[in-house]
Amino acid sequence: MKLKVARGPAVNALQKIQAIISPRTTLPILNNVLLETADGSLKITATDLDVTVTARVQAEVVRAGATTVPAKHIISILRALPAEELQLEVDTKNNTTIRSGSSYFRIIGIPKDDFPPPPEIAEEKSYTLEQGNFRRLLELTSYAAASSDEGRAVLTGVLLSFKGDKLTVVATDGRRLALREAEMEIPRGSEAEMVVPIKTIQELQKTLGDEGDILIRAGRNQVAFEFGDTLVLSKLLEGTYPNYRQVIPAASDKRVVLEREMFLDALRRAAIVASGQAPSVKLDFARNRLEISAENRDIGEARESMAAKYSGEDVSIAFNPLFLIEPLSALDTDEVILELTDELSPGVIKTTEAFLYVLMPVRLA
Amino acid sequence: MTQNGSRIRILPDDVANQIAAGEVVERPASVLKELVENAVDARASHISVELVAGGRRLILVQDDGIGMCRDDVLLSIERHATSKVYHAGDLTRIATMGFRGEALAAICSVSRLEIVSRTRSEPTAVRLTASAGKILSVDDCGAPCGTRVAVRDLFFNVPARRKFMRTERTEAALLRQMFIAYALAFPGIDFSLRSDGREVYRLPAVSGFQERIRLLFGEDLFRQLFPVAGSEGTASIRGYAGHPSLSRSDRGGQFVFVNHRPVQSALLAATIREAYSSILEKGRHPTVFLQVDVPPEEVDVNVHPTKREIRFRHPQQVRNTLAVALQEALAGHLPGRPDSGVSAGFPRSGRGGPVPGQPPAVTGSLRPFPYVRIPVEVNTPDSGPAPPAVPVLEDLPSSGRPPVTSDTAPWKWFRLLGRIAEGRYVIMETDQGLVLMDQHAAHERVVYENLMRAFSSDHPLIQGLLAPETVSLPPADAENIRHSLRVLRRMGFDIEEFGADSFVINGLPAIVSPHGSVRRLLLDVAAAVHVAGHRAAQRAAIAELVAKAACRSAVKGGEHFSEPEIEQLVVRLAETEMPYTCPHGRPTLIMLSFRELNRKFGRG
Repeated sequence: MKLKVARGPAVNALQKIQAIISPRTTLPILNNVLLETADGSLKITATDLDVTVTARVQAEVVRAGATTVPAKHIISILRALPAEELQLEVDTKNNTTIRSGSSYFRIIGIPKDDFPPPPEIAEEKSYTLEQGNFRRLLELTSYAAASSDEGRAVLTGVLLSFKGDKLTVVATDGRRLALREAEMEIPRGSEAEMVVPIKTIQELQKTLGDEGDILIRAGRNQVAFEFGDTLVLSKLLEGTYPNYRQVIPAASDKRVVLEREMFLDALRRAAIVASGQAPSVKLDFARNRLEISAENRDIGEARESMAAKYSGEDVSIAFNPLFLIEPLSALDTDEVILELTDELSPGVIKTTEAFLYVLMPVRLA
Repeated sequence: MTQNGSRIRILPDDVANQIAAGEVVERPASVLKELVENAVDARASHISVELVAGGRRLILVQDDGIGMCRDDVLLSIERHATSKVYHAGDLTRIATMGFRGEALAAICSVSRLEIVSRTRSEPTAVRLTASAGKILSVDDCGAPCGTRVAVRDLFFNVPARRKFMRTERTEAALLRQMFIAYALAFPGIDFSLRSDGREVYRLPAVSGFQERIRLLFGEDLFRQLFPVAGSEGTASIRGYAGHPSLSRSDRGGQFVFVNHRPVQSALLAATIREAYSSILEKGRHPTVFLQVDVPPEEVDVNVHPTKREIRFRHPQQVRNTLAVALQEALAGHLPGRPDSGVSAGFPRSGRGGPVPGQPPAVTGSLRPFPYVRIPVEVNTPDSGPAPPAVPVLEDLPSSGRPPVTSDTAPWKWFRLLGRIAEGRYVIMETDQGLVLMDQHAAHERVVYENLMRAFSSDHPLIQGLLAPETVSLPPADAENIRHSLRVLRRMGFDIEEFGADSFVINGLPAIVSPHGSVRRLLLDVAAAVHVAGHRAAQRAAIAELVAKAACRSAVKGGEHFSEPEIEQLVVRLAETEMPYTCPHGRPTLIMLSFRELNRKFGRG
């Protein structure tokens, strides 16, 4: 294998796929990236067996071929090189030679056959969306996914439901649930639901751009996301996603309109005092007024008060502040609507967009 | 004393029977075992069991088997009366469950017994009543084909035994466990169990082991079982091995059958433990359902009167068969073994998880830190690394406590040097010397102390759940949870009973809420309550148990520490009240003082 490639784009590509490489893997080949030539380009791939990311860079291919090199080393070297033009050459013993200006490196690699082959996608259905829109859908929901749940592994993923001419993205950890819908045309026969692991979602959030389309190809156990020069392949989580529709309260009689940023800042301040094992902030709503308070036996207390559009009867409710801060910081609308019933029933955050967030209160035993 | 001085006498039969009863009839569960075995030997297709007051008041087993004629009924309560063995030679090839001819006689000698039995060829049934081994009446009556044995007031004439019975609750749980074992051993027989007038199980006859497991334990559990199969020579093994997440802190989830006989075998237990050793932490026991089949003459069940213990003629062969079968079943979940397929469909347990196709893991090799660290000095908590704005590590929240005086902290400053053994141990230099820290144990200690302080609050916060979670538990565990419901509620569990052995959870204590599986948490609490016995009735004790269980679950999820997180962990550990051990008593730190190092290097 022999090729010429520009340093900048190559470093960018490596940075995109770097997050997939787990520093603690016990399989040495997974510390390596796969370098392959394709017509007029160099393909760089990393995998942790669950997620595989491939980035493509324009290159002048002199001799086709493939090899693997330790990710850590090639990234460090490419970042540190001063010149823009690079020449890569791989010999039969999988030594990769990098020449650039007056620099010369030889990196010991592992044959490409040791690199796990990408999974195959069977019985695929495909969907096309705008990259920026899709990233936004993920940003607005993914934080609500469970970080770990031995009992229900599906909760550690994000549900993508392509049904009824819309894409519904849902994440929940059993305490709160975030949902965002987007209208799109879904041909008959292409309706499907899938649960994508949170690691894949996070990788997508990082690498998705604003412009251009993303093609999603979904099989039974695997899904592929193709956009720009990037391909993300991921396994899907098995199991039945809980029926999220049934946890969304049908009607709440108390409706408060709050200025999002003001609410968020006040919560962040109160949360400083509410830290600890079981953080909670109390919200007291009175006519056009919201009082936020937090108390911690070991630290002290905090009180905030702000304006709110509210005309119902007084109501108090307590939440884990993180459960409010996360959706409020993901949103970008000026106002949010908070719907409540009483201190024991779930609260709902809505916006003028097709966004919905349900969270359970914290209460005294 | 007689004149010729001989003091040795043959024991009268009733005394001999009572002594035998001590061996065969330990407790209500052993009565149930004997009666069910008799019913199975009588080729019953339906066996129904009824219990009252944990078997103390009544244990009734009714079958539709071949029944007994009048003479047989009378003989059945004589010692060494059996229809199953004729010659000593038969003992080497026992294919029936019972054979010693002791059971009914022994049971009869310590209870009020009633037997009603009719064979197919007789028009009427025989009814025999006896008390403390003495026949009270024998008469004819009408009854369906088969045998009904009712054992009332067990041990009414043996106060010493009565005292050794545990609470009604415990005995009931043991009875259920026994019932389940036999229901699993004979899936082709219709089993039912009523306890205190309540129907507990109704298990129609099914074609196989697997359907029985499904009926008894539910589809959820079944989905987490891997099929096990193997044979070598004359031994063959079939069954299921549970996913590591089904592990328990006791052996209540292990059902092992040899030739359909529920058994305990040190050999098999050790083999199971070994097979799981690399995927389960110490003190956890896997869930397994295993049927071992060997020719009857190759297994000696006549080791102990209750036949729970057995010996194999070719122990090595049985052991190998089981070891290989388990290994194959668990492949892909064992580190260092090739996987059968990448998409096994199970979440991998443990940190990082085993990787398919990986070479044998090299344990104990030194792994250098991936990058060089600037020395960090921690003198007082305020000079420690600034906590990030948003907590990076959910399970390591900043402890909202006034700074600890330096005399409880094991060191004044520390510097991380590296991690060894796949990150399990952290090496650091402190003002005291070289310190090795068990990362897992340290994490547990920190989480545990936080939880304990939160539990001591009188008004714990409950984090509600969006949808109530229903958790079904094995009978014995459910019993333990039921017993502790009141205390659990006061600690912030919003939990209700939900029929049979299920519970509905609407909310969790806010402090344990982020820590994963509700079911696992409940199972751990149940096992802990069981171990603690009645001490657990006290709130403080329960709090301790829940904290221990919760910190185990908490720590389970988050062992992927980054370097800054390790630093935080070391700082927090230094702030705890007992930095030197984990809540379960294992050491967290091994310290090697400079003086000791100097001495070892001969620098005096």
